[in-house]
Amino acid sequence: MDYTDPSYHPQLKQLAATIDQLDYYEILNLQQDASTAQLKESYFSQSRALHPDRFYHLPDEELKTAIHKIYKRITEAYVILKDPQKRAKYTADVNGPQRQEKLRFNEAAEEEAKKEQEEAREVCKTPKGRKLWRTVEQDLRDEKWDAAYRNLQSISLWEPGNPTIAELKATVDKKRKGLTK
Amino acid sequence: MGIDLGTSNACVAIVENGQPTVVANEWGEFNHASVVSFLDDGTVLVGNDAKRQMIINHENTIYSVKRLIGRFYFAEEVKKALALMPYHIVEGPNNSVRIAVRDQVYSVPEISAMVLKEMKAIVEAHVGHAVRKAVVTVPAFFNDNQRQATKDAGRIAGLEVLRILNEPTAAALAYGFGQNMAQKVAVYDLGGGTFDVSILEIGTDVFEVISTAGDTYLGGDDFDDRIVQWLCNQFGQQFKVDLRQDKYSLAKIKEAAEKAKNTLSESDVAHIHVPLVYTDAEGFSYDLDADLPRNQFNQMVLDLVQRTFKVCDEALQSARLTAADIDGVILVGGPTRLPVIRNSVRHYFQREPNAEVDPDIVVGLGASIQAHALLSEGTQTFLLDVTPQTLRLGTVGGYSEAIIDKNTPIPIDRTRTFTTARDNQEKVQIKIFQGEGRRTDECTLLGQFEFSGLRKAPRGQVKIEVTFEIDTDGIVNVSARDIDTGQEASTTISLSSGLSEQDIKNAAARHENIQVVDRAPEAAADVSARETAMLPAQDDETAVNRPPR
Repeated sequence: MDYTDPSYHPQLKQLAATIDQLDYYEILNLQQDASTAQLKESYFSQSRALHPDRFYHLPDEELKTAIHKIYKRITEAYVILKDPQKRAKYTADVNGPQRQEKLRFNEAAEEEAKKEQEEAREVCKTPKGRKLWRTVEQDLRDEKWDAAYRNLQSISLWEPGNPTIAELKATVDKKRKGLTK
Repeated sequence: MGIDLGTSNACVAIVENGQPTVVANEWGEFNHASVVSFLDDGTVLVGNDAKRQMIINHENTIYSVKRLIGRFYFAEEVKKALALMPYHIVEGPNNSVRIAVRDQVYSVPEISAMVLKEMKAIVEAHVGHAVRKAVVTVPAFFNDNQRQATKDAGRIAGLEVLRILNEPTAAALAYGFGQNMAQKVAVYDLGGGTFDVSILEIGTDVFEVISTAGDTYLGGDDFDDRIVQWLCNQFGQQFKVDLRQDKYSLAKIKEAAEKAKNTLSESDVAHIHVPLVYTDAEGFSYDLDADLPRNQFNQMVLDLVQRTFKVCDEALQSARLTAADIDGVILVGGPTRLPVIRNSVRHYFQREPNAEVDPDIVVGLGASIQAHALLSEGTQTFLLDVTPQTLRLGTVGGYSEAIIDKNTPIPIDRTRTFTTARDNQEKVQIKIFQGEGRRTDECTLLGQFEFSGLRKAPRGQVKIEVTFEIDTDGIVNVSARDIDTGQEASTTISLSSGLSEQDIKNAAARHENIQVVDRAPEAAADVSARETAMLPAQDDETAVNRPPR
């Protein structure tokens, strides 16, 4: 499709005016489960059709402003969706109840995504557990096996199903017994 | 037309009958020294003839201004230039850099404008009519200030700058033009003063830049300088005289060093002879004589060469590729003719660099292709470029946060929301930076923006949405609006290294009156006589007379 043809121009101006209501998948004309290769292919085909360079020679400034606006959003959609973590967060957001506010991946979403990631990396999920974990880390550095074991035991009271803690407790227990022997 | 405005040399090309072609000046030269020389009689020389003035007229001959363009006077790079350059670099308003020549003071873009004007004249002489529209190239790693200043230079020269294009991207365009290839290529661009690496993926109709990295203060000039320092040390040991104190001697040695470097591209040893380099108080003159073997030269510049590969590492890492994934290596810039560079590049990428690309003209050709593509209908190829440095917003305590990461495709924008911190606050000030450090003193300040005319309300009630845009030129635009009322805030830039709109207009007017020539009148007669004697049959191209300027 050659969008530089004047018959498309009203449609393009309309798109620029309403682009704030589209999510990134809609902008790139993609299904939410599209693969990385499909994402790139779609970014290329949208660029092929709508890159501002293609419209550069036209005299209509209003159209060029519209194209610029549309294309910037295409780039933005691609940049966010090609990052797996951002994409996961974004996809959850636009399928959630706050869809209207989450159509653009903004700083708030980025902060939330970062926080979620950090939480996922953390060993302990409860506030008490996290506090005790910091003591455990220090104990391990100081090779205070008894103290570490005691604290791990306390954590497992708060977080009985935590596999990392159970595993570590077993290791520390061996070390502790090895030393007392 | 496409103009490659290099640190040492400029080159101009056009697309003629569908083929990109470099335009020669009337003496058949393709590359023109980016040198401007102001003569006693008010004549301004530009190009290779101006370069010949570097020794006899060293205080009034301006070269390598690209190393200064778009920089603040307090920048490290400007300090280095102050120590090295024989012309007078002075401080202008708003911490800007100015150049004082005779009784005049010029901004850096004004000097570049003279070179651009000369390129314009060369094309006009060739095609026989006025040409105004141009794509001008810059190093990929140039920040916003440097791009803006280059664009200003174009406007002062009376050009309509269609696009500020990255040099490695231009080179890749020329390389892949009409080739229908599918390759990952690395462009290794070592110019006179700057170094860039870009990794691109070239498809049938797409040129996609995946990553770019660079150093805007590393180039052939630094190689020359190593030879200059070595020669000065040699001479100093022999005669107990420091030649660095004498700008005239230094200019002579610099010329000899550059020649020696070029010799070493072909020979194993360069004989350096500078007659009458120094005259002592008793009127006794000394010559400078030295032999520089290639091996020793390679040793002298080893750290510079290694620095380029650190940059290559960075570019590959950002692209998530290794050297083995690269299908083609394109060398750009005069210094890449040096065997030490060619060998190291071959070793690093484990492949022979492309030999068909002429490193001196490829960027100009690429720029003309892009100019042609922008101005014609039905262009089938498209170009996706990236921003080279992270755009940052200054926060409290000398820190900053990233807004748009490096290697993000452009054009793009991001918005941030600010709320007022005081009752009835009328203004919001923000500072923006470019660079990779979290601390602002590790980054370059782009500007300080002030948004005023906010509506009066208790604190926290006014929300301002600030949009940071990087456009297709890689230039940053900032705007702000009130979220609730939708009203645009008025924006003023209160600190910037650039020129104001009025400055540009004044400079453009002033430049209308400056006669820029690329040959002094008497020299011109001389050279054309010699050229005619040497070239029995001149073709139409060189016979076209220049329009009156």
